[in-house]
Amino acid sequence: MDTPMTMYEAFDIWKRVSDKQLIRYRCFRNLETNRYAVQSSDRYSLPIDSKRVTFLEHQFLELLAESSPDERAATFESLSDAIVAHQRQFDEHPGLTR
Amino acid sequence: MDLYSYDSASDLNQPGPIGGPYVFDAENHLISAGGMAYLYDGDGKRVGKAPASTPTQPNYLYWYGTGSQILEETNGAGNYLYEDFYFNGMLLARSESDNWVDHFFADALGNTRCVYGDSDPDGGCSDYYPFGGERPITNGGVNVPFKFTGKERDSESGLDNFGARYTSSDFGRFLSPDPDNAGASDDDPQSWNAYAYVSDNPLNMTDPDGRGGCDGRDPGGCIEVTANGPDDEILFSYSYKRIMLRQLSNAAQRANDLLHAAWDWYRTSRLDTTCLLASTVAGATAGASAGIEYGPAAQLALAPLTGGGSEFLGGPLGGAALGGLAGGLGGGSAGFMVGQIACRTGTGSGGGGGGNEHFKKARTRAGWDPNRVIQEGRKFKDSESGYTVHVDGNRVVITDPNNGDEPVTMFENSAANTQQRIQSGKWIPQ
Repeated sequence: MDTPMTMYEAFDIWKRVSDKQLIRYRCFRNLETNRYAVQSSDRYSLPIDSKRVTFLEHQFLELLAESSPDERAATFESLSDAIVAHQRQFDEHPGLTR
Repeated sequence: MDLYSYDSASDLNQPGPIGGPYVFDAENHLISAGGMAYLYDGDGKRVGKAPASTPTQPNYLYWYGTGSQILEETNGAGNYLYEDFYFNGMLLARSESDNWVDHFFADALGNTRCVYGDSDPDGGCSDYYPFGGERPITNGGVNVPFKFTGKERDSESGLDNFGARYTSSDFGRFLSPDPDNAGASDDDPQSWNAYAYVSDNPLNMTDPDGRGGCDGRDPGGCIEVTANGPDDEILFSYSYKRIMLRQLSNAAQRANDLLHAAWDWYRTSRLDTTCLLASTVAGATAGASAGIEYGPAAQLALAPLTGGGSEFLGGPLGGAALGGLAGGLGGGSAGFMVGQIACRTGTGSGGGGGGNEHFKKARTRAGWDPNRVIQEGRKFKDSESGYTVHVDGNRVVITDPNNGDEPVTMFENSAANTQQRIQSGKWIPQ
């Protein structure tokens, strides 16, 4: 949960799915609680579609303005836990890649 | 030398092993530790966690039935995260929001010794010191917060929530005096220590709710554990096997996904029969190997359907065979698929070489490509981009209809936000 004064650090984690596909995890760290949340995971494929890039940049700001990262997704102490939780939400079973 | 301090109600509030200082309310509930605030209901059950800066706005909620056991865990918006399964008072399994299940393997004290789950089939194993200190054995220890006697260990403080009170495994005792200890027995010196955990007899006793002594005067007090531990037949009860059956069903579903993926590839590719046999055999072999992961679950799940014995299809062997069948089906499909890729691109004549590695890649693909939200969610059209929006509960997946419905983005969204987008015309129902 945030307050009007809550500040977040935004950063991206990238995953190369193949030599043609990328996943960009839009991550946030709450500077007060030091907990992590993933707002969205965005997909890019070759050839890069500029319309998609624009759409995803627009969506990033739209989602952040709409709800705080804390409200949109569960928060975790570690970044890896936050990403794994996001993957599980969307059937991207990380364990099955062993 | 460490100096401990206590509040006026005799609760230890400084220092803590981690996460101190601890703050207690007038009813001796721990309400703040490690940057988190805790919320309680009228019965004293902890019902939520919130950042200490906004203590009335929880971001994690616990839901109980009529008892004291947590039945469901959600985020602050009420979105389902975990569902907890018990038998005979013992936490046996925890299903996740994607319907996969983590299985807990407990010892006689109820300590979570190993976890088997989907995100990592080796969910870690731990041993415990007598008063709860964790000794990770594999994979950094069990990867769930329910550890010593199955009680939740808060990562922010390291404390175990026993209900009425919290223990510190570093101290080997409770932080607060026993609320039922007012009449400690004269002839039982151990009962004089109101902070002691199970009268300092942790290898033979457990404390289900953090209140009451171990001298037999209080029926709600601690419980003596039998030397032989819980009966296996009780532990692997019918309800537990139902959970295992669900796990097997998930394995079969995964194999089915792979089969469909293989079929899709076949439909769009040139069939090369030279590669077909070799690739399928190699893939099936790799898949059967992977299927061993599901073998024990299959064996346990099917036992009640045949009278509960281990006779079914030769017991564990039969279970492993069925698990292998599920994995083999997927593996065969994967082998077939990658074999076709190899032949078509001229990168391999056998087609089935490296089947195990290909099977792993295929399984990854099955998780990434057509997922449950796309298959089962409500469909909308994004009026600005033309993309297709799939909504299943709080999960949103947006795909590109002009590019084979390839996923574009995935995020969680509250029902209110979704409704707002529909009402504003941004998302148009299909």
